[in-house]
Amino acid sequence: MNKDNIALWLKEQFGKACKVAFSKIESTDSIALFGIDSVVLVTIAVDLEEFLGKEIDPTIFYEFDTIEALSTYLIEEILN
Amino acid sequence: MTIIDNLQNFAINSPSKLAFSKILNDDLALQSITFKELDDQSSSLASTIKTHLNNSLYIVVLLPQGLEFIITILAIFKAGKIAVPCSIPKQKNGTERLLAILEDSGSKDIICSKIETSRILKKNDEANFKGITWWNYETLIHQISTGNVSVSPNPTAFIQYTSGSTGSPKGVVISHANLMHNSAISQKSLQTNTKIKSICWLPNFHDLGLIDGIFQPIYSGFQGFLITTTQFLKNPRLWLHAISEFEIDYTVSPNFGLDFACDRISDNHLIGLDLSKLRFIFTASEPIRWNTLKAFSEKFTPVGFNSNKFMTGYGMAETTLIVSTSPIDTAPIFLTVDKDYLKENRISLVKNGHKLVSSGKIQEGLKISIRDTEHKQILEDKQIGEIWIAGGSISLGYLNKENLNRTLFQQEGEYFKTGDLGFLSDEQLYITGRIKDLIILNGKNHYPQDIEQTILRTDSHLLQDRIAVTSFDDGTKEQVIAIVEVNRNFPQDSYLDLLMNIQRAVFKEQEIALYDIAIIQYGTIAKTTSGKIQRKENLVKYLNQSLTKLISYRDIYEQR
Repeated sequence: MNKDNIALWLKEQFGKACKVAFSKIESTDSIALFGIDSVVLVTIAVDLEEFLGKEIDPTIFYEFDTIEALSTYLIEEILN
Repeated sequence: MTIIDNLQNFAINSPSKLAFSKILNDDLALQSITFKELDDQSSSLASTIKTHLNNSLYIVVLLPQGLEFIITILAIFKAGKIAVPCSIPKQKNGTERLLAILEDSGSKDIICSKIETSRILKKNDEANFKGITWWNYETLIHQISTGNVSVSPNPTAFIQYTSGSTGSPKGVVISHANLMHNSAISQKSLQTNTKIKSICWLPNFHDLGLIDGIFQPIYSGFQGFLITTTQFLKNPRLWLHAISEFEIDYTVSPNFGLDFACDRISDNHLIGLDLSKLRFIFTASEPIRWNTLKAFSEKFTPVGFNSNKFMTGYGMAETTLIVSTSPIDTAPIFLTVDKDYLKENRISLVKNGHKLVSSGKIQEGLKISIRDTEHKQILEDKQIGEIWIAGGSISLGYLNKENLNRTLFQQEGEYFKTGDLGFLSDEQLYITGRIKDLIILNGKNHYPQDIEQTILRTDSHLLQDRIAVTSFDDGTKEQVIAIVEVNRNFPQDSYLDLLMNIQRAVFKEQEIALYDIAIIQYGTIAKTTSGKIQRKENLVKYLNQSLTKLISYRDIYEQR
C-alpha cells in the first residue's frame, strides 16, 4: 500500500458519492466542494477502514479535507 | 419519588434481572448488568463522588454510550449532584462548546475515560481547562467505597445542553419530577413493563437516547439493549439483527436513521432478519416523512415488518421528551395537503398533494394550545400556529437565563412556547415547520449563528449581520444555504475563490456541505429596521429567485 493507491481509492469513492468521473477530481480539491452529506462520509470512512484494515474516525475528512492531505495523513499516521 | 426509587425497587425485587446489555460487536456479544449490580455499583461510585468531587454541584459527563455512562449518571443522582451529559469532542481544537458549557454551568468536574481524557488534552490547549479537574472513570469506580451512601437526590436531575449556538449554549434544566412525569407518559404510551426489551443507538446526550434509551428501562424495569451511534452508522443491519435475535419489542429512530438503514441494507442482507416480533419503531425528533415510512415498510415487509409497526411522535428536551404519540398497532395517520398553500402556512386538503404525517395525540397530563404567532390568540382546527405546551414534563427553563425563561416557559403562567409551527386536526398534531431559525440535519441541531460566524471569518470583505444562513426542505432532505453580501470594493475576479473558501470553511468547522451560497448585491439582504438579519425572508427571496444575485455556488457546481 502506498500513497498513490490510497489517493486513487479515495478519488474513486468521492467520485462515486458525488457522481463525478474520478479522473476529474484533483488531489488538491477540497472534499467540501463535492457536496457529500455527512452520513455518506461516515459510510466512506467505514469502507476506508475495510480497505486499510485500520480503525478510522469519520471526522478525518473535516480535519484533512483534500485527497493530498488525507492520503499523506493515512500513510504517515495510520499505516505506520 | 425519583428514578432512583424505581431502580432500588427492581434491585430488591428482581435482583438478577438484566437491566442493560451493551452489544459489543457484529457477532452480538453482550456485556450486561443486572438491576442489583447497577444499584450497587452506582451507590459505590456515589460514595466516591460525595467524598472527592467537591468542586461544584454540576458534574460534566463525557463518557461513551454504555454501562459506564449509566452507572455514572445514577451515581451523580444518588450523590445529590446534577449531571451534565455532553458529547465527547473529537476534532482538533473542537472544545469550544465544551468550554462554553463548563462556563455556563459553572462545573469544575469532568468524569471521562482515561483514554479520551488524554486524547482531548493532546488535541487541545490544556490551559483552556484551568481550574477544571478531569476525573478518570476507571480510577473512581475502583475506589473502595466507604459503606452505604445515603441517597439524597437534588431536586434537579440533569442539564440537557441541546440548545443554543456553540458559543452560547442553553442548558435545559430537568428536575427529577419532570423525569418521573414524562417517564410515566412514556410507560403508558409505549406500553412498557418488566417483560419487554428495547434497543437504542442514539447518543446519551440526545434526549431520545437518554430518556428513552436509559431512563425508560429503569423506570419500568425492563432490559435495554445499547449499541453506539458509530456501530449503527458503520453497520445499520446490526440494529435490526439484534432486534431479530433478542426478540426486542421496540426501538426508536429519527427519520434519517430509517432512511439510512433502508439505503445501506441491501436485499441480500435481509436474510437472517426477523422483525415479526418487533412491536414498533418509535420515530420522532425530526420531521417525519411519508416517503421514508413507505420505503422502509416496503423494504422490510419480507422480513415481517409492516406500516402498523410505526409509532410517530413529537417531543423535545424542553418537555423532557414525549409530548404526543400515535397509538400502537396502527398505521401512521396522514393528511394530503396542497404544497403551495403549506408554504404560506395554510392548510388545504386535496386529493393529490403533499402527505403530512401526524405526530399523534397529546398525552394525558399535558396541555397543548396552537397560537397565532403574532397576537397569540387561540387558533382553530387546521389553522397553523405556534405550538404551546404545558404540564408537569415542562422544564423550569434554561440554566441561568431568567429573562428568556419568563417569555419562553411562563406564557400565561404555564405554557412553553416551542418555536415549532403546527396545527391540530381531529386531535392529531401535525408539525409543519419552525419559527426559530434552528436547522436540524440528520437528527443534529445546528444554529445558523454558528455557521454565519464561520463564514464571516473566511474573508475580511464579509460583513457582520450581512450573512444569512437558513435551510429548506427539498422534498427528500433538509438543504442548508448561505446568502452573503460583500462590500463594494470586493474584486470581482475573486468571487469564485470566495465561494470555495466559504464552502471549505463551513465544511471543516461545522461539518456541513452547503447546498448553495449566493453572493448578492450590497445593501439588498433582508434585515429588520433595527438591523437584525431576517433569515426566513431571505430564504423566501432565494426560493422565488428574487435575490439580486451576483453569483452562486450552485450555478457553478451545476456547470461542472
